[in-house]
Amino acid sequence: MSVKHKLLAWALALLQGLALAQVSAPTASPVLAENIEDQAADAMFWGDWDELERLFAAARSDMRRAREGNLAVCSFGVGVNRDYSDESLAYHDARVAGTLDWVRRRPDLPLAHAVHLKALVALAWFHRGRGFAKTVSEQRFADFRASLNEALAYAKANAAVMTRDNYHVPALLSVMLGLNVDAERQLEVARRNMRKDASDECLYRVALASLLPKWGGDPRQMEAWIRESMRGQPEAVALTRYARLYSEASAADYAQGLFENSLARWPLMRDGLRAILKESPDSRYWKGRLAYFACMVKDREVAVPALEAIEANPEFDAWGDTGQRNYQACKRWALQS
Amino acid sequence: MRWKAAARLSLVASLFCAGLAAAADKVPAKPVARPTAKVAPKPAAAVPAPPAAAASAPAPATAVPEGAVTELNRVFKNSVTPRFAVRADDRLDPDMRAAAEAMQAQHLPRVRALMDRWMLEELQQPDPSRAFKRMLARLSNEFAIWGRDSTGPAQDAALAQALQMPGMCRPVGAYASELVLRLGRLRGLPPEVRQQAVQAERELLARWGQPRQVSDADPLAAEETLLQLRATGQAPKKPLPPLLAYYYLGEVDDNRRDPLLMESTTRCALHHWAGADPAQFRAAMAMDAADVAMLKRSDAGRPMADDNPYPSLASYFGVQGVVTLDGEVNADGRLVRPRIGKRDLSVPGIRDARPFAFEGALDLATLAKAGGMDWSVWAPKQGVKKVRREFDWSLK
Repeated sequence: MSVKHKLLAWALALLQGLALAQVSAPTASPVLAENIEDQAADAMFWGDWDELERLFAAARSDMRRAREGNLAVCSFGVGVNRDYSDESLAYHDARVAGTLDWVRRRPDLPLAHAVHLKALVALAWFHRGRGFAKTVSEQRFADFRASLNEALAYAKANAAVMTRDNYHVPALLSVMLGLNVDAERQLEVARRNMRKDASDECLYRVALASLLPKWGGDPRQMEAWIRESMRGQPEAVALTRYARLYSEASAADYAQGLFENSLARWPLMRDGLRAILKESPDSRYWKGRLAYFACMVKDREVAVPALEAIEANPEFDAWGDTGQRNYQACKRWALQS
Repeated sequence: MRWKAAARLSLVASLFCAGLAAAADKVPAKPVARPTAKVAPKPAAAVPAPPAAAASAPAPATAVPEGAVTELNRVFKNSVTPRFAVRADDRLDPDMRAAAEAMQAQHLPRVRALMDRWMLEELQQPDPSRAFKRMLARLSNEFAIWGRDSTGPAQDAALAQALQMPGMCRPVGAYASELVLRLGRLRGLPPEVRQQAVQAERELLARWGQPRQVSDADPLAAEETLLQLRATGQAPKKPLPPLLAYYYLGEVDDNRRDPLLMESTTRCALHHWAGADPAQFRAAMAMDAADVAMLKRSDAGRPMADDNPYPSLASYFGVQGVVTLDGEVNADGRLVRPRIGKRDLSVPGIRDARPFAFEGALDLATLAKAGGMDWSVWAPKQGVKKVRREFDWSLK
């Protein structure tokens, strides 16, 4: 390293020092759902099982939504699933070994079993990868199936404890998806574990994966599942579920073809998105989502005010793949007289 | 004259890091690998002390010269204050936050006063032109001693209990200070134990500047254990936290980090995993001079240049002495599993304490030097032969 570089390093260190020295008063206690995804991912990465248990208990009793509309209990699951592995089998082995050690110390804790099951499933999907089947070698498929079967055997052997909570269901559905179990059977597993509260939203969403075209799903089956999620709910809740689930279907597979290739209907989608925004008025994602879908169906009457609501602060994640370009194209189209 | 000397030192202080480079550039020093006898450390100060009571001698300074005050303030702001910062985004519960803030408020003035005291003392020492560096050395060593210090069996027991908790080392914030990291490691303790442990932390801060005996335990060779796992591909007997597996056992070489250069939180996880007892854990976690200067240990410890093997930090502070290297030579004449053994070092300014903050300052350079040596003369016909060599690091 040259003297010049050392000076630069020192200057940066000084700046860092200044930044670190900024001390301010603590902010008010945040809504759990705002940060729990990162916290759960952190706890998994560091093998902090006590923290994971604490976060899960808190998430189960806190139904406040984050600014972006997500529930703590759903975000907890997303955080646990966060995968840092890149190409590292050692990372997955460590997760499997660490969670198994946790189970041995806490055999009566459903969460420990469920997280271990998740680690086994994540290892299986690491072997397979998330690409099309044609991209996966025979050896990797063999490893994939072997790991899934191990996960399934574990789930069966520990069902008595694990099923005291429904947190294991997403991992179980992922096993069934990988083993090509019939989608209707997967939905049955999800149905059996519904709790009749807001957290069911996570299960409806997770089970949706098996109904996507890329996994051989049928649009009518998906429509039925989404309608089922709305049944018995107050109108506003039902509409938000409709919009959330079809939005998820678009993000995961249908993309710009949502209204052409699925049974999604724009008027319901529009009302659902507006209902979500009523519930989460500061959500940048859902503001963008309303404009995104309005442009998709060329509804200028909705698109123009929705774009105005975004102002100069678009959340490009709401705009699909190549979101920034979708956003710019939508704006150009909407502003044409 | 003293004021002028202090003013000159202020320039050194303003170039603290640049000074590391400049000082090292000027010193054509070479380490010498020697098979046997130890060399006594060089004296800390080569210039004889002026007569203590000479009639013409100036009166001892009672206040730090103005020019030096500015530089002390700069170091205090940039290298001391951040170590005790309590940030809004640190995930501390209200009790722990209040305790941290109280400790910060009490301790920062204490350190600032100590810096003045040390500066004045060093100005009374021979070669006052180096007083500022010696003050920095004392400051750095105080951080290191703080890391190793313990109030006694109760605090050790609390730390031992925390070391049994799986997530002890999970950081409480992305930019958490040393003080907050220490307190954060206590967060999982039962309330009454935690309260005592927090009080002990308060007492340790109050000891700054006082002579005290601290443990001289060596940390576990956890880094070496991790490297063994990497080399053999064996599964660890005790599960590794996923982050350690990810960073240090990854299959792709480009993604693997060097365990010897771990930053603080990851080092905590490693030594926690390895089963360190409280003294070993403290030894592993104690800050060193590079940490205080906010330099990466790897950068501070590497040889300055191909033609000058002395590391910049060691050169700046005048660290000298003997580093013993243990290893094995195989039948091909290659040195395998080299590791640092004993260190016998001296650092100007550190007179009544072991220079903990500087003990690793010559390690990387010693390993680099050893790696470049011809070991074939010690090669056995088969198997490996244990070797021990002393490297004499001198700035003369």
